[in-house]
Amino acid sequence: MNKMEKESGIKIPMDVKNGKNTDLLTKFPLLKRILKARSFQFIIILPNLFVFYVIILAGIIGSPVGNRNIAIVFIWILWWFLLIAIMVPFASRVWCTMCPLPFFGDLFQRMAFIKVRLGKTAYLRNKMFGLNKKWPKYLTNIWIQNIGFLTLCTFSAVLVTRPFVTSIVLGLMLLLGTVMSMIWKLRSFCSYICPVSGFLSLYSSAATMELRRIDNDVCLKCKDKGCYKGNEKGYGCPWSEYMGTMERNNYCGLCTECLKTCPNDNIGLNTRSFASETIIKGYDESWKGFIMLALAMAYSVILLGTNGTIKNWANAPETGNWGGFFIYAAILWSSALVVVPAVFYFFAYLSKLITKSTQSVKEIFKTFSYILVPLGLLAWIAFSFPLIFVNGSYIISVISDPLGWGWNLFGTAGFKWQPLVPDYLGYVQLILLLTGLGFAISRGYRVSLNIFKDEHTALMGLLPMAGFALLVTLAFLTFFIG
Amino acid sequence: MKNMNIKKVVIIITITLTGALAGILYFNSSAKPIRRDIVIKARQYSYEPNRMEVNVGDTLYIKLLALDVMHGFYLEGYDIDAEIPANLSNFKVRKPSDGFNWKDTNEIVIIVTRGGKFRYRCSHTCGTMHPFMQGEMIVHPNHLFNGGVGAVIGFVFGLLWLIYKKNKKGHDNE
Amino acid sequence: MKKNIKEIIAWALVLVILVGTPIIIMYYSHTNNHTQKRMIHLTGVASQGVWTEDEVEAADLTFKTFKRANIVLTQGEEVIFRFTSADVTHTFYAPEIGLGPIVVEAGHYYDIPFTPKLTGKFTYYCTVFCGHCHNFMRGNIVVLTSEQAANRSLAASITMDTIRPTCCAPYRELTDGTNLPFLKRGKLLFLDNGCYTCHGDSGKGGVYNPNYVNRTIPDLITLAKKLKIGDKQEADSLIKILETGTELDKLNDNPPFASYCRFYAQYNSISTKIKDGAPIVLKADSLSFNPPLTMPSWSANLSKRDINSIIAYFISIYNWDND
Repeated sequence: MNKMEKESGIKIPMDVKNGKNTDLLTKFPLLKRILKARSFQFIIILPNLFVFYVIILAGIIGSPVGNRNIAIVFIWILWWFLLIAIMVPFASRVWCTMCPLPFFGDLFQRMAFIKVRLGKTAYLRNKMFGLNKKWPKYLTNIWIQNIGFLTLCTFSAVLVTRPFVTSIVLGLMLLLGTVMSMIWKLRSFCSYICPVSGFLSLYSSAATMELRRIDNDVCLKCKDKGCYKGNEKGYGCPWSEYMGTMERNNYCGLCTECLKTCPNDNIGLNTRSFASETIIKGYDESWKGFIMLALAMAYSVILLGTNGTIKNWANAPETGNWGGFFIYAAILWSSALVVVPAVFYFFAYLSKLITKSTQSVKEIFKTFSYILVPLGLLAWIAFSFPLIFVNGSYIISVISDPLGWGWNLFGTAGFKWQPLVPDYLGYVQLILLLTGLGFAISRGYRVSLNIFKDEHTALMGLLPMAGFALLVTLAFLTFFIG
Repeated sequence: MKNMNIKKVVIIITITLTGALAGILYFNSSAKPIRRDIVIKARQYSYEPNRMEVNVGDTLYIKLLALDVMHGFYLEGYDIDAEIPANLSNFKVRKPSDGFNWKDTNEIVIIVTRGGKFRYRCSHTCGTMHPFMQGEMIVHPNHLFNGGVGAVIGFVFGLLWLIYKKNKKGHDNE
Repeated sequence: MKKNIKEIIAWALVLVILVGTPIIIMYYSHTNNHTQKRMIHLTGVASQGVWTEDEVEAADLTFKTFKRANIVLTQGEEVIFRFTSADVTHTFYAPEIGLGPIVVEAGHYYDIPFTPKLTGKFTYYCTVFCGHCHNFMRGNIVVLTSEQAANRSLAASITMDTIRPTCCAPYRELTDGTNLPFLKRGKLLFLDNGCYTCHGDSGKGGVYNPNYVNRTIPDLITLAKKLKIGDKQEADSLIKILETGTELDKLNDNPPFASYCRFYAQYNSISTKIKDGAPIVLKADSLSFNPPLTMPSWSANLSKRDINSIIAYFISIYNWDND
């Protein structure tokens, strides 16, 4: 421990000590100019809005054959892979920067795409339209997102195979986002409802990029607080984050408003090492971790598994086997909400037993649940690799014939399905799982130090958690290559 | 500082690889090669058997049947793709590496040479859940899985041991 | 002022996307499909057992009932057939006018230029098994002479659609584990698998199979005779034997009636035909096209007992008084 840590009593993360963080904005002045432009977010959303619109249309008037329809191929093969394997681990919530879902909601609240309206709305110095109600305090967490995500995932076999269902769900989300922004203040849909946002928030904490204040003291002296309240240069944070104290990626949607509003030019876009922010603040976040982990396992069995009976259960709207569907849903929900957490609780209890700590099991349970982030994220990436490598060839054909109407825009519509190196994916998956396990244990130790303070106890307390991570990894290994 | 990190990485990799090797050797099996006659029935959206376990050296005589609609049989790692019309005993087969030269047949013969897990997937759109229709052929010895298990266990012990060493060193310095 | 210009451009861009996208889609689709020739767009829908000329869109599949295509052509008229499938692989085959077989994979498009030469009323078929409703996937293809086509009322009377059986949901009793009586089970299996689409209502036979040496598909109501069963008594004892599941070859040493071995040879050939199918059919004109209707192999869907129950059912309905 260095001197500063001893004085302050706060552990400073390794990479801050090593000075590994680099501010991308200082390094690339052009990037800074782009991000500071008021029209940046609009321009980056626009192409996505177009694709999103085509997808919704294709889901209604396009071909009912999933692998010939852009709605299925672009969302569940291309977008999903880019999101989970590239955007989230390397660029945090950069999807939220370009997401078209809140586009019309923002438009309604601001009555503008680019320009800023000054005025007074609650604590904001911007004029915002709509009712601007306060989001209820007891819902200021990600529980609704947890349940919403689990509900959507219960129907995933239908959702990811029927263009129409995909289109309807996306359309409803757009509608809900727009209506909610008329009633509640700021991005209430994004922060508390959007099912995608829920896992982005959890997994983005592992990302190798962060948007942060550069100098703490500047923020302490700052009277303007434009990043929070907005000013003539931009809107107050739509996610109600205050950059002066923001320590985590979780609820920062990277909308880049604060880059524009900060009067002291004190916002930096840093690179950092993977999974370096190791804090879980509430049970909602822990449970998000459990849900994601359980779903990755369930999907490995249901979608990437070989058992036809379970597939027929999950596919009840076609097979009509609603009894089976009920069993399937019950297993999914109970494993995500009860069984996996209970197993983890058992390991947390072991941790308390071994260390004879005075900490409550609940506290150990909650704090340690951070290891679900690297573990789950890498498992999801390993799960998603076959999706794109096996079915990626659909992207090539669908790009020429987005609606499945017999078009041939770029001459590739006849491209046949062709899996790409399917027999070597196991090696990639093994390496990904090992990476997740490595981060779970090394970051687990950092978490453990925060709980148990002294190093020997921390190592002892880590042992059961390492055991849990090992079990999970072995389970995935069995699903993928066993 | 940098040397220390390299040393750590080397230690971890060594332990992991040792684990992998131990796994491969421990689970290594050598069964006598035999002939296996297998009938695989394809039905929306699974195969029966959905999992077959064979050994390196076996010769497989596979008959393919589709029970409801036309299905496919794309066996990864063995360069085989078949098109199975329903309710017929004949089907078409091709080598994907050889393009789309279909041949009529009523049996596929495979001499099993590679160990591991190989999935067979439906290659002809057969309905909504088509992309998820697959079965798996496990060829023993499955070195990747056995080595993987060893590597994962070795990796965990390696990491914990490094943490332990570092703690000990820290105490000695104080 | 400068900011307002940006804002206006932004509004313009968004409007262009929202309004322009559907317009571009419709316009492109229109020009893409635009040919001098008439295009007949047929989509195969397995769940309803039809080739349809209706548009099949993603939103439709769950709600809509598609109309069976009744294709009307005029002799010498150049048309383009565009085939696609909404779900699984189908095959389009209209052998009498020389069209097909065209293998149609789901979501792919196949444009076939065609000019009809013969006139008359023909049938088109799907010749690759495409599910429960496969046997129902047939329809009319009428080629009119130019004089007929000019006379509207005449054309209408000629092109009137023939009534064909439509595909129904599978019989619940067969799948829900109900313990059906043996003969009832045979009857339901016959109906459920759509056997009657070829062998005729209640197995009366008579469905025309183009270029088949016997012209029509064999009936099943005379199955008892084909099996060389002598009289009603023999028939009843055989039904009992089939129902109890006795291995028939074991009875060869101790035959239940005199002509048993003749029966047994016939039984073997017929049950094998049901089990393995008869993919090759004798042609009337050996140089001409393959007959579209062939007996599929049922070994995967029907157990030995299932096959026996169907045979027993048809033995039981033979009218012995006619002899």
